[in-house]
Amino acid sequence: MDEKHILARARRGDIAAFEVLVRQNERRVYAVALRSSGSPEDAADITQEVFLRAWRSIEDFRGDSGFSTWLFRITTNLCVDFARHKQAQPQTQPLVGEDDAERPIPDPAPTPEEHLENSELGRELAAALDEVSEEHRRIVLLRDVSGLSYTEIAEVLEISEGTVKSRLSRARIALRTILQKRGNLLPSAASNDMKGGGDA
Amino acid sequence: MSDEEYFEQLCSNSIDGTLTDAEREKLEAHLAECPSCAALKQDLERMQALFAEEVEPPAGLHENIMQRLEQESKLKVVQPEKPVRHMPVITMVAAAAVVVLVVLGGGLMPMFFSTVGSGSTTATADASAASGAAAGSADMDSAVQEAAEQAGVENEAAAEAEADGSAAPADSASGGAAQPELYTAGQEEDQVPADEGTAAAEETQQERMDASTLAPSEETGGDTNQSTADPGIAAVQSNAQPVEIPETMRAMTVAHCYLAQGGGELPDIGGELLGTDGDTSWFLLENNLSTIQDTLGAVEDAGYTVSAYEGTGITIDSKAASWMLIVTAD
Repeated sequence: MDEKHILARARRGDIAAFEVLVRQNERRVYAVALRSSGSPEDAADITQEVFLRAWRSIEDFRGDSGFSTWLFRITTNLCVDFARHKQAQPQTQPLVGEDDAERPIPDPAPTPEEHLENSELGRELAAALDEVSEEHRRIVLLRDVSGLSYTEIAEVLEISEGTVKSRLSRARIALRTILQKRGNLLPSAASNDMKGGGDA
Repeated sequence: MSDEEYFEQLCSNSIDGTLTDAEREKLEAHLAECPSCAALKQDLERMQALFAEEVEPPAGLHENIMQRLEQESKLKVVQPEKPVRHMPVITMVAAAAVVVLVVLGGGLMPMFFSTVGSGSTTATADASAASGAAAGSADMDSAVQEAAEQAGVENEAAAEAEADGSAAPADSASGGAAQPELYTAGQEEDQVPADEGTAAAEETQQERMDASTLAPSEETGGDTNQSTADPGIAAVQSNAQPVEIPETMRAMTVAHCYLAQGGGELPDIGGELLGTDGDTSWFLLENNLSTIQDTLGAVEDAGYTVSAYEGTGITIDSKAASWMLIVTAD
C-alpha cells in the first residue's frame, strides 16, 4: 500500500494505517528529540507528543508536502518549545561560563568523540544546541538529524532554498565554535579566531 | 556576501553533496591554499557524522506511542465538536422523534412558535423566546444539523425532514430547548428540493448562528438548563446498543458516556454506582483524563469491549463534571 492510501485511511481515523506511519518515522523523530534534548526520557516524551499531535491533526494534513516533512515540522516545533521551557527553569546552568577558568580543558586525543559514551555524546550535542539560536537549532535538526533535503527544509521553514543554504552554514559554524570551546567533540581552536586553527 | 562567507557556505553545502561542478572546483582550489577553510570543512563533516549517529530508541517506545493514540481515539469518538461519522442514522431518528415531540408535546413556548410561524418574527419575540427556552444542548444541535446534512444524500432522509417541516405548524407546542433550530430545519427542508439538501444544511447552520447570537450560551450549553430537552431524545432507542438510560438518570448531563460490554469479573470502578438492573450497571465518575483512561483500561483488561455509548437519553457536554460508564453483560 502506498503512502497516499495509508494517509487517506489514517485521515479517516484508521489507527492501524496511522501505525504504519508511526513505524516509518518513530526512530527518526526520536533521534531528533534525543539530539535536541540530550535526555532519553525527555526524547521519549517528546516523541509520544509528536505522534499524538500528528494524530489529532491528521485531518488537517493536506498532503501538499510529504508526511515526514509535515511530521518533522511538528517535531522541531516541539523540540524548540521544550528547550525554551527547560531553559526557563532556574536549575539549568549555563553550559559554558564566560570566565576563561570555566572553559573545559581541551582533550588532546585525536578523535575525542571515541572516548565519549553515547549518552555523553548526546549531552554534548544537546548542550551545544542549547547555546545557538532557536533558528539555528531548528535548521540543524532538520538537516543533520532528520535528514531533510534543502527543498523540504525550505517548505518546513517557509523560506527560500538560498536562505536554507546560508542559514545552515551560519548555524553549523556557530555550533562548531561552541563545540570547539567545549573541547570534547571537536579539537579546540588554536586561537579564538572564528574559524580556528584546525590543527587537531 | 564576503569571500570568506562564500567559501564557508560552500564548505557547508559540500558536506550535503549539493555543490555544482563549478562550485566544487572553486572550493577545491580554495581549500588547497586556505588551511582555515580546510579545517572548517573537516570539522563540519565530523559534526554531521555525530548528529547523524544511529540512535537506539528505548524498548517499548512504539507500544507507548500506540497506547496513547488508542486512548486518544477513544476520547475522540465522543468529542461533541467532532461528531462521529457513523452516527447519522441514529441521530436522524432521534432528531425526527424530537420533532414529533415538538408537535405532540406540551406548551412551554407557544408564544415563540406562533410568532415564527406567522412569519412576523421580531427580535424582541426571538430574544424573549430564546432566553425563556434556556437554549439548546450541543448534542441536540448536532443531531439536527446531521439530519439536515443527511437530507442532501439520502432521499428518504429528505422526505422525512420535509414531513417534519410540514408537521410543525405555527401553533404547534414546544417541548423544550432546541426547538427553534428544529423548526427552522424543517422549514428550510420544506422550501428546498431534496437534491439541494446541502444548501438547506447551510441555511440551517446560518439560522443556528442567528439563534446563538440571541442566546449566547446556546452553543456551549454549559450552564443552561439543557435537561429540558432530554425526554425527547430518550424516547428513541438505539438498535446497535439496546441499553437504555433509566428514567431516573435521564436528566443528567455528563462529559462522556461509555458502554462496556462483555463478561468477566468487573474490576473495582472508582465512581458512584447509580443503579443496577439485571446485567446492567450505571456508574458516575469524575471527569478527568486519567480517571477515564485508567477505568476504561481496567475494564478492557477484564475482558470488556468499550465503546462510546451511542444510544440516547443522556446529555453530553464535555464540560460536565462527571462521565458515565454503563457496564453490561453480553
